[in-house]
Amino acid sequence: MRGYRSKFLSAAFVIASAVSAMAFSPSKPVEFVVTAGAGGGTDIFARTIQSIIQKHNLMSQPVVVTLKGGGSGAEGFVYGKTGAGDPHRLIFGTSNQWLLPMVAKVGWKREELTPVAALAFDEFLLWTRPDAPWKTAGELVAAAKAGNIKVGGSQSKDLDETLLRIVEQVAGIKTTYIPFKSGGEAAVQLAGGHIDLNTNNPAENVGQWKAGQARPICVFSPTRLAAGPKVTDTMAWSDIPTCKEQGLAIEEYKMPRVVYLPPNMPAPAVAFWADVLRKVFATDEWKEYIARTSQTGTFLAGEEFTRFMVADEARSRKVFEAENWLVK
Amino acid sequence: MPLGDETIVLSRRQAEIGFAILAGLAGFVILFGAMEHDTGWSRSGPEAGYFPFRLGMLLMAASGVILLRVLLQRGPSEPFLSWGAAKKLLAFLLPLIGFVLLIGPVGLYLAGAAYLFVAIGLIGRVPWLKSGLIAVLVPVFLFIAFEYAFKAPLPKGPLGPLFGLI
Amino acid sequence: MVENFTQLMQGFAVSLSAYHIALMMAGVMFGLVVGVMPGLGAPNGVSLLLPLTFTMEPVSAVILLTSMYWGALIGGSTTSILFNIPGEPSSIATTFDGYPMAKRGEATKALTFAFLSSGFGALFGVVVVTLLASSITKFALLFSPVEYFLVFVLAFASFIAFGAGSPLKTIVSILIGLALASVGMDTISGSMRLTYDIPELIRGISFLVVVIGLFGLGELLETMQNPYAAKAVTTRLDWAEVFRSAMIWPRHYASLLRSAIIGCWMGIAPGGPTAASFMSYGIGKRMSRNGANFGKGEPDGLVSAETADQAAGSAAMLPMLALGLPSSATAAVLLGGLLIWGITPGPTLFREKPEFVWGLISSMYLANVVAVIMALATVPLFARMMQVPFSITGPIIAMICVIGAWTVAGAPFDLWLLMVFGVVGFVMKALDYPLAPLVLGMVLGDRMEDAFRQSMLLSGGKFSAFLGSPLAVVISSLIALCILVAVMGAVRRRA
Repeated sequence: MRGYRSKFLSAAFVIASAVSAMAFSPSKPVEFVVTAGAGGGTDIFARTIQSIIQKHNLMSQPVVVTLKGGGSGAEGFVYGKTGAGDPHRLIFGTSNQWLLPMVAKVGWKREELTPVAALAFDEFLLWTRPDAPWKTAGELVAAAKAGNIKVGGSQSKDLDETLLRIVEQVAGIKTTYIPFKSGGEAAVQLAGGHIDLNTNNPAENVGQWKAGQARPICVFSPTRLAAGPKVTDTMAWSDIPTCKEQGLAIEEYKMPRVVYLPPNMPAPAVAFWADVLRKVFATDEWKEYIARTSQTGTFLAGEEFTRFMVADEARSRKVFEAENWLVK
Repeated sequence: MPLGDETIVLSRRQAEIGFAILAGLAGFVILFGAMEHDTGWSRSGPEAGYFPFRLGMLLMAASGVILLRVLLQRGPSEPFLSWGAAKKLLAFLLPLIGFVLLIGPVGLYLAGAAYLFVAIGLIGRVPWLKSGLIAVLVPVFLFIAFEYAFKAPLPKGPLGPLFGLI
Repeated sequence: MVENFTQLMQGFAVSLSAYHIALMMAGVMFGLVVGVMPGLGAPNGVSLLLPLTFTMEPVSAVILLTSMYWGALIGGSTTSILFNIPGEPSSIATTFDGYPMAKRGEATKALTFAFLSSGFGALFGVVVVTLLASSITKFALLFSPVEYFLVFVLAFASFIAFGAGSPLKTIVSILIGLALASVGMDTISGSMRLTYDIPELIRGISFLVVVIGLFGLGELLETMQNPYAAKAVTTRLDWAEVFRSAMIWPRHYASLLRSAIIGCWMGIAPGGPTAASFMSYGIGKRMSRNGANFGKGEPDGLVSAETADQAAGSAAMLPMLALGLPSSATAAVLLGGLLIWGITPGPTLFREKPEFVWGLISSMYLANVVAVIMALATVPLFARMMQVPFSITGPIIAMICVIGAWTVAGAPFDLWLLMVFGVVGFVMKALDYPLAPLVLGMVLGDRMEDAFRQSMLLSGGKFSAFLGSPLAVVISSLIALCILVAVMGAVRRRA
């Protein structure tokens, strides 16, 4: 029985690999797994791609979006891992994929999921309340040396707090970090004047900025953001100085928006999805999404994407080590 | 409808004791889980294990007091579960557990059909034809509703490839 | 306020077109269906409708989606009343009296009361929104974690303090609920708590799975072993009965008003609809003339829960648009829909897109009326289900429970949790452990802990923060009042 079964399996394997050696195209509806809650940045990222694929008919099968945001996205990545070998399940996330396993006991490792592509990089800014006495990063650092600055952000030991700890190390200051459930909450707390600072993405704080309830200090990017129409009466995104030009020596800090496949993925399936995403990246709708959310559109796939992940992992590991966050 | 066998399997006193012990054990498990974290109070407020640790302790204490009270109570106890009632509970739970076990290999719809037929026809003594009809129609309705109308896929087992769905 | 009124009239000019009324009816209809279907809810509805709306104007799209949302909320109470299975966390308190009423043969009355009360609550909420639109946002900004924490404590205190039963057993029940809420990732430290290295526990224990187990499956088990309760109830199903029920419904005006006010407060002070319905139920138990019958199928209890739930849901709509903070998981999905059309919630949305905001608010008036009328039309149909013998409905309801638990996360692990909590619910109820405190502990537990620890971080560990602002002082005094009333009640009962 066992012999028969294994022979049968290996025969099936031969057929399967013969088929996959030719080309891949989805044969049933495709599941988009969102590793975040409804309405968050990752949800919109996935649904934007879904709508572009449908509109331009980049793939013949329908798409079903499922939200699995439990445990900071751990739920979705673990779920992705259980789909080993299934090319009909795409996992949408952020650098959480390789950062979370370093700081919490979760059920996957970075190299277990199959990377497909990174399509966008979200920016980080320092936002403060409008009545705060500091106008520049330099004044802020001076104020932080003199007194206790309260900084809000999304989640703990996640991107926001990591950035703040880097700022602390670079500027030689100490602040109080208060974790909230989302960047949206941190934006509202800042607008209410309950905290002094947050490190939100542009889209998370633009509403408050327009209403004069928050003020950007600087952006963690090597160059200023793309020019565009004025957001407030006096300022456009490109009028915000970079943190580096204000003397806060952090070259760059961005959050990649990435797509993965489950483990053990045949090469043609990876190539197929990378190709679909590359086509999505080239559409006008994608450019409009990037502009609307003030992100940077950069496409990384294959070797290039893996190199980026490894480098980012190594850089973050150093911060985590210094903060004693690494999970044993 | 006769209740069946009135022999007492479990008295209320026994049930109270059993549940209090289980709740106390749960308290211990929580306490144990909380010990993996710092259970203290730092300068900036309670640490991750602070509340779970105290929850566990309180749960053990509260169920301990309940246990003591029951143990100190004298006099006859009311019945909690008769043999007849226990049989009815098992007749309901066992097919349901079988249903859940079957979902993995054959999917929710086929398992559901089998479950409905067993629970309604065999155990509920509803006439064969009627229970058979229900066992087929309910899963078919759910299949159309979930897979096609609402696109909220449920596990399908062998039906998935058959209909070309996720 | 006058300005708001003119704006509202302009809003009606937008929403009162034949096209928009048709969209409302379609949306409500669709919402009722997903709300009643096991395991489906407004989130599924939004996912399905979203692709259809990409070609619409934002106002039309949001009218369609919110109508669906109201329909789903009302449909969700149907299963709470008929099968003791709450479709949404916020309709748990509806089961406390709604289900006993249905079991007693008053399904028609219970459904009619529930639909009318939710309609009243929603309309009350919208009126408050219309009158206070501009000030609500400013008010909501006053809430720091300190005030959040106090609001949760107030909801807790008002529900627990007015409850009856053995204090020790109530405590055990709360503790279990609080412990279940702390499973999974801890927001403040980012570490995994009480997960014991079990991968399925990383996402936490799903609240809906526990509730479907405790209430839905637990109730089935109880009915099973008590064959006298298992006979099908005869209920009058004609339209006349719906009409008669609707005629006596206004007699509950005191509960309606009180609950609508509590609901609005909890919708604006960001407590959310679930906490609102529990709080209103707890206070209703104390204030209503029939308070002693709460939990035994008392219409006042049903009215209190349902009105506050919907009032909070609609009052919370405005802070959601102005702050971008959703009041519930379902509202979050709706918010996601808005973001995809490029409507960024924020304080300036009212200034930038007044036609959108007021079109939405005016459609809330209309859609709720439409929803109540359409829901009432379904009452005889649903009441008929209660006449099917239990040997048939029992297994079908059990299957619905399984589907409901599966759709939460698609995890087989949840099905075993469901079984365990079914048995636990049955045993706890038989041993007179109250289940509601467990549920409330689970709903509020982690949010209370987060808010408390955030407050401590903000204040540097000083408790004086809880009296640090005028708003905090007011809420703290209300909490003290609740506790005082409870203590006095206990003393009087002893004497």
